[in-house]
Amino acid sequence: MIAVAPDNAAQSLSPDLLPLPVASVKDGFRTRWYRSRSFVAGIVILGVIIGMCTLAPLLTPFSPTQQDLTHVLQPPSAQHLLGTDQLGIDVWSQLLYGGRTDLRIAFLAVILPFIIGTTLGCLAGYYGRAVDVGVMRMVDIVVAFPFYVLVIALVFAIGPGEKGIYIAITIVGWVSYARIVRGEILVAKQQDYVLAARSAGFGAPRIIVRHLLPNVITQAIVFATADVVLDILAIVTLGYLGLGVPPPIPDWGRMIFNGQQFLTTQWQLATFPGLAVVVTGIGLALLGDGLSDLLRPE
Amino acid sequence: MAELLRVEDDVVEIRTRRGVLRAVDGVSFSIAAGEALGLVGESGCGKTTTLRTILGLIPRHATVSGRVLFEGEDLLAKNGDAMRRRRGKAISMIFQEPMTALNQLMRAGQQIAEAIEINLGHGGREARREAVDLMRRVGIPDAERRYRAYPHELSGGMRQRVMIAMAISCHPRLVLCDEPTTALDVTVQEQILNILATMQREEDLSILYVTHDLAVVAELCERVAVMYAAQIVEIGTVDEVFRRPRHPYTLGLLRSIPRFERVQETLNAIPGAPPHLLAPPPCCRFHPRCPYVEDDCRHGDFPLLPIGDDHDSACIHSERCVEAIVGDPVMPGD
Repeated sequence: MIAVAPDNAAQSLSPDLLPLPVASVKDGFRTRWYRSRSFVAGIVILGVIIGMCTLAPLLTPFSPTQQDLTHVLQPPSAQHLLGTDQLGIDVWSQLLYGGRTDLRIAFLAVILPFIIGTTLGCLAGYYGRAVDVGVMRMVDIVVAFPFYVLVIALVFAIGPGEKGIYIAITIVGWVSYARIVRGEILVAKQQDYVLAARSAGFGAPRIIVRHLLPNVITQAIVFATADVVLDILAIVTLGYLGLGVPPPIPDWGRMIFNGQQFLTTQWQLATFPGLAVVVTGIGLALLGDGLSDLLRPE
Repeated sequence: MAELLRVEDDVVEIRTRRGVLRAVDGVSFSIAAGEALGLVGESGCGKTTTLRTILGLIPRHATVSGRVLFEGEDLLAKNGDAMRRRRGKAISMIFQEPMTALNQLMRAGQQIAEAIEINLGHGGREARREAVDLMRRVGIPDAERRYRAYPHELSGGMRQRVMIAMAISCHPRLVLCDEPTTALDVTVQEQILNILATMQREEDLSILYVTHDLAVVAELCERVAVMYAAQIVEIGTVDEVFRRPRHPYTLGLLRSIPRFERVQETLNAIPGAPPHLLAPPPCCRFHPRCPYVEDDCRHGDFPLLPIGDDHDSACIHSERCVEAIVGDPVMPGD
């Protein structure tokens, strides 16, 4: 106590005149990210997976589409790390190149729902009334259907392939972002800083974009990491059902489908693409968990 | 002095589930150019709602009637866009809690510069320089560096200074203050009041200062209006109203301030509680708590009546207050 007293006295005399602590200025996301274990773990897992998919040509000498009917259904060996499938295609290559397809589509597929959902959520939350009713009724309609039922039906209607997946996921996926952002805006717009911005003469678009959005976007970003997982599962499911990217483009879903008929003899055919999905999912979940910790305002 | 703002018969009705609530009930007052008017009253008596009417920022489920004449123009008759263009530029506002009234994710200086850019159309670099200037003028040391600070890195007093800088950045004629010193400790309060007084003088500002702190009003304001249950019950110069209150509520308020000179066992509180605005008592709203209540207080209207030079009271038995003060002055030394 005695040792602290002079310090306290100095502070109570002129609390405002003390120099700014330099560290506090930099105490942002950039200097704190490594403190969240789950964020680091997520980054490492995803980094390894994405790195391996990106460097696929360096990690495997085989093409993911080249059939070799003289070497079908081989067990793992030094040459074929995970063996070959019923057409003699190297499974390890398929896994790496399939990851390229699935991850690319999954990450790209969250962009449009994110933008559309956030925009509509902002408008509904800020303007309320008719805008809110309109947007939320659309949300209700989409939510009334189970996610997979609607995505599968839409892809089936639009036609399989990458474009169909993007459209279907956008139509179904935006509602979650709209709901999250609307809810956040409803709370945030009651805050004094919004009233202060209005009393400073700012118009609604500026208040939404410059003042509200940065305060509410965090939740949408955190959800996006969970949404990528959902999208990967959807893409793999579609591939499994034969509604995904058309062959011969490699895809984890179709690998699982093809491999399951040999599950008793060649278990590795279906197991490793399945494991890839699980590990990717865990990596993204950890990343989202860490992000929500780090982005939470103090 | 030229009249800057005149509020006439301001009524704000809020629809609630249990009926229509009159948050402001026929409030009228005026502020001259360069004058500071204090608006005092208990929590929930309609002070803040009165402020927001002037800016046109009342909740959507509320309806306003009456007139708010600013430089002769009725602001309530203006459409949303015309009103928005006056905010910040002609009339601005300072809030009670600068921690919540500043955007936590924007640098303090940027928030000032933003107002300048938007309302005065100045370029980014110029706006930044003006913002730093303003920060210096409101007594923020090391303004260049604090321009880049986030609100949570500043102390309460510094944050409130930033709010003041924002409020005066576009040279408004009128600044509405919603208890800007309530959340601050006494030494900082004093500094903020001094800054406000200086700015008022330098910019020839009019100030409408809402508070429940009578001492602050006595220090900063020339005139004071006392609100009780959504109505103004007494208005006049600070000197008149505080030394010779003519409404029992004002007297009760002044008597309830604890004083060093009077050693007493219990504090002088006004008995009872303010009425609920969903069902205010008809007639004089203060009569259930009034020590001088008489039969004729229980019916009729009680408009503000002039009882002296620039001194109006709604009490029809205001002479009872005069009697009460004789022998027991409100202000020490009277």
